[in-house]
Amino acid sequence: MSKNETGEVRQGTLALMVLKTLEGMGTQHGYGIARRIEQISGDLLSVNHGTLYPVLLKLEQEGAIAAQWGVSENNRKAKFYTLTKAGRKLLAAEARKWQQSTEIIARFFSFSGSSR
Amino acid sequence: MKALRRLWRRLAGTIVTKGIEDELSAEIEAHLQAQTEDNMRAGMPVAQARRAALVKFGGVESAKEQYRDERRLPPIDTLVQDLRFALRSCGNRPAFSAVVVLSLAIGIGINTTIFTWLKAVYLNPLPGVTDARRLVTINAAYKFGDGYSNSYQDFVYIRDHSRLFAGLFAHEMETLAVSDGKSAEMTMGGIVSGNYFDVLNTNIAIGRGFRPEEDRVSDRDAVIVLGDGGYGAVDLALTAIFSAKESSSTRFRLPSSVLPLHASWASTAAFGRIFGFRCTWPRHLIRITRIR
Repeated sequence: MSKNETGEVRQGTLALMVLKTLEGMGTQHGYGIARRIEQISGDLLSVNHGTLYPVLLKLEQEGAIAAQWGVSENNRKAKFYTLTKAGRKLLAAEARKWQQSTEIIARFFSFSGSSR
Repeated sequence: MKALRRLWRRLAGTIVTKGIEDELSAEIEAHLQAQTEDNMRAGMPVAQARRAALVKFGGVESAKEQYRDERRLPPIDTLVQDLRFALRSCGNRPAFSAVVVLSLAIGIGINTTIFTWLKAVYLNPLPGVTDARRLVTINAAYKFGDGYSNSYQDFVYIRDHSRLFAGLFAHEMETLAVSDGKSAEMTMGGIVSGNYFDVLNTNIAIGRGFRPEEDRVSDRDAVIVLGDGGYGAVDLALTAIFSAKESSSTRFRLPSSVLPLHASWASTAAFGRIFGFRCTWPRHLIRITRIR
């Protein structure tokens, strides 16, 4: 998640990334989620780690994830997040929407390219 | 459902705040420490590692503020803060607060009284009556004073001879005993002239009102119209004949199912029956003719 002039991330997109990360990793704390998103996106995203916490709270309020205090791998107290059943449903629905949107946009771009 | 759940959680987060700030600080600190340790493992000195972690986090206070905005409902939060401040201020200066509360109570009370009076007198003086502002009471004036009710004979004369008014009716409130033969109930009623409902131009919910000729001959057309018990209400009305017996007391014969209703307005053949035409002094109301 290093800075990149093209790497603006909207809050809804970040929420989807968080859900997908938790689906893949299981229970994870905030720092672990941030690192994972950073690793997967490489240097393409520009997101401050601090913006992750309001997103985690929003997802928790919606019941998509559950939070519980525990002890991290470094023996530090940390808050751990887990994807809930509702969260899995939400992730599936959001993934479908993204898929549709990207397909539609892709068609437009391919159409514009061939008409030149 | 998702939005509702979140709204509820945010509302709860606005009211219950204990321990949440400490938890948030602890979570952020754990994040920064983990990042700092990773930076140190990458070869940074402690101070630089910590600084780099803070930079990557992007402003702790800003993140906390965003978190608080998500956790609470800001408008409700402001309201709660204002209320807390107000209560604290009241507690600090109880005498001043008491004076303020008393002043407000008196002010509101006076305003409510004035508005209620204005509403009753000017805005909605007689519920159910058409164009009630054109109804005027006429009183008798004597050399020793005025504001007196008129005699029944005056009513009959004015009704039959004056062309100044759209209508004139007479009425007198009376306490009546309504009985089904087994038990009796005391109720307020009005002894009124036969054109009463015509001049008021009031709708009768069930049955009919009085006919103008029904107050001409004593005991002949004795009719009662029952109201729904509300003040002056004739929304729900029934007609029933009361028995015209030889005795001087008027007895109403009503089905028992009707009893919960109050006999709001009784007929006026009873003017003669109860008081005798010669000594009856009802109040007179006229409806002013609309000037075109």
